[in-house]
Amino acid sequence: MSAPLPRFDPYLASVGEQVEDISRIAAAQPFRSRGPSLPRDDLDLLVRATRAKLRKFRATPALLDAGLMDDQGPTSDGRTVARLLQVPAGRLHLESGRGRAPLTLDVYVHGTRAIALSTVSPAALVDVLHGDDLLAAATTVGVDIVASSAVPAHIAAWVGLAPAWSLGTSPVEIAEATVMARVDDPSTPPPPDADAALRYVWEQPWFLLTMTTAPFQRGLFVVNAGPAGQFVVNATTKRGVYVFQAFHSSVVWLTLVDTVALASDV
Amino acid sequence: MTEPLNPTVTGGGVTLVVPQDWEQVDLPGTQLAIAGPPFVLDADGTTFRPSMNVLVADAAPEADIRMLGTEAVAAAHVVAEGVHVLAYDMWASPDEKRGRRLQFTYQQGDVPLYVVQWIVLRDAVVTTLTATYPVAQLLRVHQLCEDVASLALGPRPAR
Repeated sequence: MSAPLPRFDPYLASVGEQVEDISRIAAAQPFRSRGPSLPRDDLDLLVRATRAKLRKFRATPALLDAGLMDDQGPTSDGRTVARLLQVPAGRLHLESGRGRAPLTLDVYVHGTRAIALSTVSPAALVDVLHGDDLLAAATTVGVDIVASSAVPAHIAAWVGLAPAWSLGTSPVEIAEATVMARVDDPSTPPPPDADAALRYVWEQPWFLLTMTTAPFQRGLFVVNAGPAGQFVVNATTKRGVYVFQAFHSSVVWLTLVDTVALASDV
Repeated sequence: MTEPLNPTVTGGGVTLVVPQDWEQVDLPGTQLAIAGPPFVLDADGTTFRPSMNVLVADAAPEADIRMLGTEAVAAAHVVAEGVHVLAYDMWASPDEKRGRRLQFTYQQGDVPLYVVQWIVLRDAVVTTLTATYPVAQLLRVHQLCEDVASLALGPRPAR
């Protein structure tokens, strides 16, 4: 009797490596904000209303619905949100350069507690946004108050971190202009000396992720290439040349945990 | 290779080195389990003990690590609501095509947990070693569990 086998990874099977297909795991675990969803401007209003001593601010429908303000002003929950956004904290800012959609995740870490403001996840978008959809994506955020040890998983879900077989691609050094052109335009051809693995990666849907932190400085520049996994992009000593290589999701995860731990110490 | 100085415990044909301040515990349904000291998670005194446990089962003659790994991923997704599978790879044992490592996270109540599972198919036996601990403890415990797994399933034969 022949062994029951799982579906194989289509690309690796095509080059003679029959390993299980793990590319569909990402789609099974979409990012979900569990908190209220608000226009960014409403959060600014909430913060101003919390600070105000004399002037009274009128709550917006979204702030009322979220229970962050009532007729009297900010509620207890609203004051908690405003405080977490104002008090100095370790900060992580993630931004996706997917097309023209300015998708962001901002996390303010206060010791064992954190507040996260997230737009739509770049991993959740099938197509690049335009017009009103783009405006809504950029200006509406989910608000989540979580344990700081839950922040790495929150970020992992937002960036669509998921298993992928690490592909050794060549060349490792690619012109910065070529990488950035590919980020903006999927029809950008791969480097002329690209091997089969890099050509496969080039054909996948891409989005770019950057993570910056404050007050300590740490930066991360990653291309999510869908089923082909994550690729770290680093500057080299050569002007205008990037290193582009597979970044195993377990290493991305450890980097997130380490970075959030640093932010918790602020 | 230098023999480890820590004590060892054996169950189901698998030997685990017991890290300092860890001890063997009785975990029903497993052949062997060890747990570390309680980690205080919150000001209210909630604690969680990091642990590793071993499950050993006979494998069907046609068993294939690729199917066992795929089944482990599917099983992880139903451990709890909101499981996020983070990583999956061939595990770097000497015979790595027969080993897989799966990493996932989920929230148990208010506690974000991290799970690493090593699955090895060898001599018609499937051995699953699982480490579970709070994400808040990850930087302290991660490498220790990797070392215990390497010593149990890696350089030396599991049975």
